[in-house]
Amino acid sequence: MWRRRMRRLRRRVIPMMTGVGYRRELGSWIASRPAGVECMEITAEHFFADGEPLLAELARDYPLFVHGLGLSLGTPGPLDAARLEKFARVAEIAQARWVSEHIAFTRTPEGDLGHLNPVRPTRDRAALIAAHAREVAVRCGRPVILENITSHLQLRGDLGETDFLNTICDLGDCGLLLDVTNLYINSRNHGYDPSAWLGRIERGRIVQLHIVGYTCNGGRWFDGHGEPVQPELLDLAREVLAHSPVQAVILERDDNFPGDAGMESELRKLATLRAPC
Amino acid sequence: MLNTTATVDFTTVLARLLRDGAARDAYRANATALAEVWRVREDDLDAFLAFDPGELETQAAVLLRKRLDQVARLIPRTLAALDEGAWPVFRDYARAHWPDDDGAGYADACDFCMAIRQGRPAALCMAEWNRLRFLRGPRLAAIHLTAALPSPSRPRRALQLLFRRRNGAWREFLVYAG
Repeated sequence: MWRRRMRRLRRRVIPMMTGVGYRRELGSWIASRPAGVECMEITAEHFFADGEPLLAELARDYPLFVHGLGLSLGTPGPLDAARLEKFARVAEIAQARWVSEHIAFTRTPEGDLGHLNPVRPTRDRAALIAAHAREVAVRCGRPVILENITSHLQLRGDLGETDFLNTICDLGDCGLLLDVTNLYINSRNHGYDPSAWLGRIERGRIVQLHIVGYTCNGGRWFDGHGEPVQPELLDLAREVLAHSPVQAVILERDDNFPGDAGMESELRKLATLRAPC
Repeated sequence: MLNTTATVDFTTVLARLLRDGAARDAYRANATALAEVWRVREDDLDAFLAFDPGELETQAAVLLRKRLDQVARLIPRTLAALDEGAWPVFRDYARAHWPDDDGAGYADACDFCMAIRQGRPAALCMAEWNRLRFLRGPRLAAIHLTAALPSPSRPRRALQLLFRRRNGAWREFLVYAG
């Protein structure tokens, strides 16, 4: 079932939606039904312990996508079954159109790092992540899309990063959640052309975008998730939209919230992505 | 450092390097020797030896910043009292200490508070310290008499009452004296 839905998702050409990642700090603003919020992404872990009524309410009002932070698809061995159950329950209550996770690991058998870390780009690891993505899709009964992360490490493997992503998508029958900010940050920190990188991604794989402003400190770029979206990120997002029929663009603001007017200003920036280049 | 008879895969050794500042120092000093001690899997050896130590430090610092962000939500007054010193104090504490995950950062915040108690006791907000210990423990109620609890105007003597329901939800009440 999820394979059919994934194929439909990739073929479907629908008007692109814009929205935000739901955060508790944005609750009252979102309750006011602000213009520009046409869909919403919720973080699965935020609803593991409680919040089911709120989740059901959001699902009535908006198309939802469920985003995971801690399934750790890049960790060798089986997925954490209890965590996957909670994830699937959130996806069910949210009636998620699709679910997403990261191409990353957050833990090993020796402990939890609490944050996303890069996976060595090898065929073995691509197969591992693809198998884990399939397991998530089967358990949730929904298509899975996977997100590129920022990393200050450049890891050696037998695949380049774009081949690694394409291979995972092929083997896992999944799509990509392209974080435009992460692509921009990695391209600056590691000195490559993000447009050329994008050109090597298989067309039609990118289903959803994340975008939020970056920070720059001491000659390095960071994803602080607390800054307004910069013009160069919007330019890169336009390139992505010309490359793939993206279905949703999510403003991923986690910190330094700018108030209602500030959020609406950010969403107006996303709305400009709909205009022809 | 860990030493086992089985070989260790790349993800595990990368995680060790990111969690442990002393391991990163050992890597910087002699990566080959560390690979032997850790028995890094042969297929992963080239990639292990190719780490840029500066990049490792940057990636590790990102993880520490995320930890500090989480801790700061639990002990904002203590962090405010540390002011500019919050990051270096936390970095020194966290570089060599990675608590078992409890999902909410309570263990990290508690351990950090204990480190502050030893090094910068005046910065520790007792109300936050009491609350953390309550949240980590099994008790359904706790009462603390504290000499200088925060209030809108100035620190005042107060009773801090903490209650937990069976569903895990908790409430806090402050009763100020005078």
